[in-house]
Amino acid sequence: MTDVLDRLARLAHDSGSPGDATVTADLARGHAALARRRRTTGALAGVGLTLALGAGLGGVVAVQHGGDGSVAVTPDGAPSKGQRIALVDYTGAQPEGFNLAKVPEGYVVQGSDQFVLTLAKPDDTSSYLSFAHKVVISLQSADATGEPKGTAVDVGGKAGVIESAPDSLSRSLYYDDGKFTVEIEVWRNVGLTDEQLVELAEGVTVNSDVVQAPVG
Amino acid sequence: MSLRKRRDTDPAFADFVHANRGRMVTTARLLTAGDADLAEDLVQTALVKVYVSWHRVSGEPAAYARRVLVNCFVDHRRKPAVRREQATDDVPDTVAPAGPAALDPTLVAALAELPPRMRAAVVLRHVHDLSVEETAGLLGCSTGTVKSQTARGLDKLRAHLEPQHAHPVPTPGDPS
Repeated sequence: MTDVLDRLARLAHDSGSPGDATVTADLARGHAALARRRRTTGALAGVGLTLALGAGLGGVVAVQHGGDGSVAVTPDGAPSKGQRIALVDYTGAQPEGFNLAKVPEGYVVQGSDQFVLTLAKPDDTSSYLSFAHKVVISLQSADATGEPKGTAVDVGGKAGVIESAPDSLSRSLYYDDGKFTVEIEVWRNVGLTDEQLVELAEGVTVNSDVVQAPVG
Repeated sequence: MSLRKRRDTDPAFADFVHANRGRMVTTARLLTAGDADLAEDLVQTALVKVYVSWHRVSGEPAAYARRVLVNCFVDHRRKPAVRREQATDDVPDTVAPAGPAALDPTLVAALAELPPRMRAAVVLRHVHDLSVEETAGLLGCSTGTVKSQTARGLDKLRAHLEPQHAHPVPTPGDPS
């Protein structure tokens, strides 16, 4: 019997640390489950932000600003002049269900799923689900509560608010695009001013099909 | 979960997965008696549940994840399609390796002979070294049931493994 107990005890080893791809997949499944739960339970209180990159074609992007990345007022939490960066026309492939007109110069679409789109520098090898030091675009879920507090802005004729994170490491622009509340989070190191953040937002078009996409 | 909370949660969850997924896979493979595919399904399902509840997980997320994994296993056994599965005397020829070091294939094959809940009791008690009370809590049964299940489980394992010991390899000098 002791031999059986010893052999059982020896089974308690670790099967090894998973690779990054496995961890990313686990995260993606977690995100999807959250979205499904929100869709199932309906719109109740909660604070979920998701970007739906559903199937379908992108809509027409109304670019309302020039591409020179003009710099405006610098509020609290915004980058200093030395940190500023230009916005440039986005010329890469449009992510599914979603269109971009502008990106910070030197930034690319690092990755996306049904929840989030991440812009990062090309040499950034971190997961696109790691948001630090990047531009992160998402949709606010229907069950979100609470009003963001910060600087009121106009995003293509729609009201928006830029809220600085408590740690001032990032700012988030919330605005209603007519169907969704969109959040664009920009880390301070990216170097976008509030005006550029608004300009970036005005170049974002979320395909209407995302409502039917299997995301929340 | 807001994006900002996700920003905070995701790295912590990723760290948790890096640190604990291997052990969860081992546990799942033992609970499923070496069914690597089912084990992976259970681990994935459990991790999804852990992620969704991450903000409520306090204390020891590994213990919480193990509880969720066991629940997933029990729930899986309750599914009608699974209940229709019949036990068989045929022991699998091989057991999928569980990472760098393969599980003890003979012992895992013997575990496959145990009813699922008995197997789970044995695994939790004698592989993970949980107390009778902890095991009872995880399996949702009384401590007396855990004691009887593990005792009978060990007897069955011993009986299954005994034939190997009935024919010991002769050592030099044996009169045989």
